[in-house]
Amino acid sequence: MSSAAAQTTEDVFEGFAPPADPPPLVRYLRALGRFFRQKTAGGIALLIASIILVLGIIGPWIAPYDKDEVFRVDNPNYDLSSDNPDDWEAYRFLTLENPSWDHLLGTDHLNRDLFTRVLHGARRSMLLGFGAALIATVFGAILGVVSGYFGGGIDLVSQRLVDAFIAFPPLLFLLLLLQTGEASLPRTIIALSFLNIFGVSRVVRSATLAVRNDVFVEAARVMGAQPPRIIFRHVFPNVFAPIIIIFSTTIGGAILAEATLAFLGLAPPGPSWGAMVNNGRQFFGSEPILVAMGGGALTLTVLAFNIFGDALRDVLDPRLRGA
Amino acid sequence: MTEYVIRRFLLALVTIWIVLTFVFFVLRVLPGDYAEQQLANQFFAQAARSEEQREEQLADLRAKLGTDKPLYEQYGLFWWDILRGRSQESFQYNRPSYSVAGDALPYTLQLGLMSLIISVLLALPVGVLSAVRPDGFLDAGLRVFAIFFLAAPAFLTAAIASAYAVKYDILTIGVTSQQLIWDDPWASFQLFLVPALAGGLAVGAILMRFLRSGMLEVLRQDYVRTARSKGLAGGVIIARHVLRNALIPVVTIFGFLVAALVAGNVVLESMFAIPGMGNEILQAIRIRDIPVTQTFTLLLVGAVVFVNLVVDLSYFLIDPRVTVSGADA
Repeated sequence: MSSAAAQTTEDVFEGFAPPADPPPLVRYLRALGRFFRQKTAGGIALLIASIILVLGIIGPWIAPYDKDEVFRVDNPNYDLSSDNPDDWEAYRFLTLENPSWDHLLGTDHLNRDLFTRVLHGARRSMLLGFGAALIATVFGAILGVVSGYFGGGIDLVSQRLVDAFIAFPPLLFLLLLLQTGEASLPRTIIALSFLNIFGVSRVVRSATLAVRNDVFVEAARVMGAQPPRIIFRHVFPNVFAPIIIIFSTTIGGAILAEATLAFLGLAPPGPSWGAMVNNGRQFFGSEPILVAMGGGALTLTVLAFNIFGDALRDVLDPRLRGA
Repeated sequence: MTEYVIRRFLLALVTIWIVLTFVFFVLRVLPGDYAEQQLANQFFAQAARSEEQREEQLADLRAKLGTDKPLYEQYGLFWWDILRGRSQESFQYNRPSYSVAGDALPYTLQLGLMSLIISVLLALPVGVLSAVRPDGFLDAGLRVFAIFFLAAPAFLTAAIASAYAVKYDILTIGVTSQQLIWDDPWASFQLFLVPALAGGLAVGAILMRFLRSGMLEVLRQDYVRTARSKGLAGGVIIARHVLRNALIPVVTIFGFLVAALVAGNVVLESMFAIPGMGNEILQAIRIRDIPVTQTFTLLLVGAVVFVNLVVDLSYFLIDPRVTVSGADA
């Protein structure tokens, strides 16, 4: 078509032209708005999850104190010659204090500021949750698409591996992997992602099987496209919804798994929500603050990610409901 | 059909083989072994010995445990023992690991069964109630309940529940002994109640959601509409037509539930000092008791794989619509 012809067409249809596609940002915002209207609970969960994610990123910088700083108050009546034994101590540690203006969430059993520790715990949970989910999703998706698309020997072998590692109690699997050396954050992330690869690959594989023999894949094959091109241009875009869904649901599971490890005392040292529950357990009857804060933060976070994942699944792929 | 059963059985064996081989090699790759840990514990005796004496002692201990043999020989012995139905001696207990497992199994079974009963008692009425009037007030409340217990980890529920039980003297838990149900039913029930409740809530929440979505799916079917138009009472429709069909998909996740219970038991047993299989294997991994870890893995994974196999094969009995070609994986 010559440029002159294009000019005329535009002239003719001037005034009737369909509105131009809005810029991508506007489109994403509109999709987000639609999501909020359709799924109120999911929208609220997304909001909470985003706040926790932001807190996880900036938390340690906005934390009011150092994470290991110990707090005590001087005793105004300090007097060794006093008859009252309470006056013999020069200062008193702030152990398991209730929330106050100085310590927004109170203090823990080792006299440290709980608000600071909860913020540091958020960074760890976010790092572990997103890190493990991302690695697991990338490798699981590759494994799933390849074994689903090619079938045959690759599929047989990978499916047996998937069967084996799904039958393996996840906690024991984590324990074994973590015993390979000192418990460090990268090691925990790798162990957690390894744990989830197989579940992800199973979901992606079954989605790929559904797409593999669709007409458009058939058409691409007839046109002589090579498998890599078919996989990247035709299969991947069509199994992207389940991949996003499984990514969002894996985050909550990974956070929960880390908390369980921390509860058992097997996670790397440092502030962790699961460890708070473990440490606060013995004082729970009289001073529930530590369990309440650690457990509350943990439950709220996992709840937010789970509800958001569910809503996302309902919107993107209703067939997967209950998967 | 017979061919399908045999094929599935062989695949199950392959699954177990992969897991055990994985565990076998990981346990031997891990830094630090049982012998080293034992010698490290004898701190004062070690301080008096020279480096050579220490090396010699380490070699002696490894020879006694059999961990000094080449890997392929150990691997062969490992499978030979499994095939002839024997188990290697536990490093820490000096008796066959099958007998260690035999002592631990009743605790795990009792905890698992109590959790399962609690979860079913919880999930069945709740799943039915919330599906009968979807999106009603009751349904919304119960769904929140289920979603909450999916998110709250079992150890948190258990920690809170046990603290309140102790605070208000609801349960008198004997700390000195772990009673099984046939030793002292009431004491045992009290001891296991809190962990079973925590485990049951966690598993029950999964079951509840699954049952609800299954019920809603069935309620949309034509045969339910037919039953309604025949004028059958609502209760009869729910019990005879909807629930029975909704339970079919629930059976599919039974294997998953057993795996979830096994995993949950590890945490709850170690929390409540119940000497079950989860607690034992946790300790065995920590101190590198290789025979116990391997034997327990065999039993736990074997149980999960076996339950999954039975579930898959039971489709044919439960649902006559399922045929072999349709069930092809």
